[in-house]
Amino acid sequence: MSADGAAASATGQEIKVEFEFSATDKAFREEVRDWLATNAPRERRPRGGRPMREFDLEWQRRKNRGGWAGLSWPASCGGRGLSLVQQMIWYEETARAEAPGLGCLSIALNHAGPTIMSRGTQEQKAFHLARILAGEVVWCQGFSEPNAGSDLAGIRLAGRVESDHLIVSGQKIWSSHAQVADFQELLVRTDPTLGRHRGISWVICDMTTPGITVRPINTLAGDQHFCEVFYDDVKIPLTDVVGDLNDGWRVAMTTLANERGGTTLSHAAELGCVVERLIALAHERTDGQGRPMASDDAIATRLMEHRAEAAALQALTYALISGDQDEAKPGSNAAVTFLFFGELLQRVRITGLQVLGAQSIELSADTEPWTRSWLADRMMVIAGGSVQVRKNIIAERILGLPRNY
Amino acid sequence: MSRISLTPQAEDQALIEAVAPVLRAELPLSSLAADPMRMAPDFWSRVAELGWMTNALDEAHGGAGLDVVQDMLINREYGRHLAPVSLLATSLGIRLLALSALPIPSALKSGVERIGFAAYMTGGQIGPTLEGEVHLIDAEAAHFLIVEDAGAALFARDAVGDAVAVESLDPTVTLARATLRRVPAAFSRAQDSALSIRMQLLIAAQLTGVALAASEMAAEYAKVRVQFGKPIGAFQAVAHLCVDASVRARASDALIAIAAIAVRDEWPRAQLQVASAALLADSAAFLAGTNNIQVHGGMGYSAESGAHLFLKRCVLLRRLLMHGDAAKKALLCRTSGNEHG
Repeated sequence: MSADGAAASATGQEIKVEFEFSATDKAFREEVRDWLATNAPRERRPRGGRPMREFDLEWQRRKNRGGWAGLSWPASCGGRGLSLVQQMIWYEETARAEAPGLGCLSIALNHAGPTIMSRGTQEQKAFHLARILAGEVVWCQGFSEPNAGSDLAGIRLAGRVESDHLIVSGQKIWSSHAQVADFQELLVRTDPTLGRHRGISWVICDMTTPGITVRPINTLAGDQHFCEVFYDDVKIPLTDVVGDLNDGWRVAMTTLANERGGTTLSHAAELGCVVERLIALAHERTDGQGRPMASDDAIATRLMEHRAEAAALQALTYALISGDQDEAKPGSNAAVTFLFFGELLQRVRITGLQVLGAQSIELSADTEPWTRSWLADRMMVIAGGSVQVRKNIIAERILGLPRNY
Repeated sequence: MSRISLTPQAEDQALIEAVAPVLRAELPLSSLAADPMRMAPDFWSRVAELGWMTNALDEAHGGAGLDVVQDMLINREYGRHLAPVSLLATSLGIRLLALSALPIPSALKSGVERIGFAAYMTGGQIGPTLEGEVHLIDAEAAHFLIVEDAGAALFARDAVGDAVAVESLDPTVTLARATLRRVPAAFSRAQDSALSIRMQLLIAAQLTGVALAASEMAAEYAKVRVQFGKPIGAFQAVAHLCVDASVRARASDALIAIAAIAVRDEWPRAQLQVASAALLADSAAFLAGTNNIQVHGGMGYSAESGAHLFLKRCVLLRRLLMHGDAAKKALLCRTSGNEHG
């Protein structure tokens, strides 16, 4: 029963528990590393507003010129068509190089674009996809409402059909980067008589349309990540509905799981690097007696746990992209990984404050990567489904417990 | 194409299916709960006949040549079914003899005698003679294996003077304390500490099995126990106890596969992966063991549910994990990174 004698699959390959990058993927990693070394921006990303928008768009344009736009997008849509393994390699290398992520373009590239690809008309694809890849436009999301957060199917933003238009009135909230966005993917209640999950439409909303008011929300981290958006008889052409009218819930769900898979890979890679930087910091910084923070037993214990847990998070992402997942969708394991990631990140951030010691009360330039990030990363256990909602979903869909909400 | 597969399939799955039903039949949780020390008198000879003591030895030494990943999968099943820890001690002890080119007593191969784990109370040396106070785990074993970062040693029960029996927290095993005074030992101080890393990995695999079994037991109970007119799993406070246990068990399960592959394929950071897997498995088993008792409520507090056995086994196995300097150093050193291969 040696490894050599392991069973052969239909394709003649051994099936065993294994992890081996192919020569192609190893070469790919080198290619990514080299390209990032020359091309990743060195300056710090501006924290908000137009400068941030310009920074993110410029980075996208540079990636587009280098052939790195739309990593997961199929080549037929102008993307790179990378395998999940290669996407993971890209994210690992970007994190290692401390290169910027997608920033305010993540909705466009991870969500709106793929949705238009899978459900949009030829005209919609022709107009939007190339602009997204080329770094010309920013998209935001218009899903949540004051009374429809975790309970997304409760949305009420009203859209009534008038000849060839929708007339939209109401409010959205938690719309990231809406103040700098050109377009919005918008969920509208187009038929209130059809029940919660029906009667919703997925609509492309041009943010320059008259009647739209955007009010940025100041966050606890001192930035303006999110916005409220108000709609006062906003006219949206029916040609901007993606998929069928009143079929928007299904349109949105097609790509939500997708998005979670991709962002989980990048989150995991980044968190691994945050842990490594924190361990380095704890060896550099000293307490009042000149001893390295890492020699404090309590801090050392936490750091060891974090490194082990980061390895576990990485292992979970490997399981996500493994061949075992072929027939299953990345959905269910992604929920486990996303929950584990969010909770681990909080613990790591708290250790960051401990390592800073006296300076933990500063939002100064040198402590900000730890203090402000601790504040900002609270988002990661709330947005995209709070930790409690994630647990409800896992309980029901993975453990098979009765629905509890 | 890159080959990434963390879930046992085909032959590896068959391997698990050869082990699990035997353990289910020999050691069902209900009878362990009723009498933790009861075991069929011929248990050891039966499993020896199935080759369990030698399956991870290469064929030249009369084994089945299972690789370390397959050994991990088997030990995960041992943990899941609360199999006697001396199964692993015996298998590792025989491995030590084989690696040292020493004869393997036929009584060991046949299950007439078995090897238990010994563990220093406060750390100690590995060499031709052993000194110091130890725990003897499975006190009736004929031989004992003691493993430290620096190597491993095997000594005979007869060579130990007086041993004092102490009540074991894990009721499935007998425990004694003894002081070794110039006890002669067969030993190995392998430079690469291969045996100690292997033991750490396999104990972590057993802890992962404990975590998986306890978290599954909790979720299953939450589906059938009805209060206030519905299964208790319909209450979020209960459901989230189950989820927390299950998520950590799954994380441990993914990591133990990577760690085993790292050892088998000799990744440069294998030791870090194993140390990480050990830490995760320990915490996963402890959480699942605790939450399983809590989800079972009053029944969990009773001895007869058997829920307590997983938590107690976790504490026993934790004792055998080397939290020595090597693991600490690997987990706390400055430069590591996540790369491999």
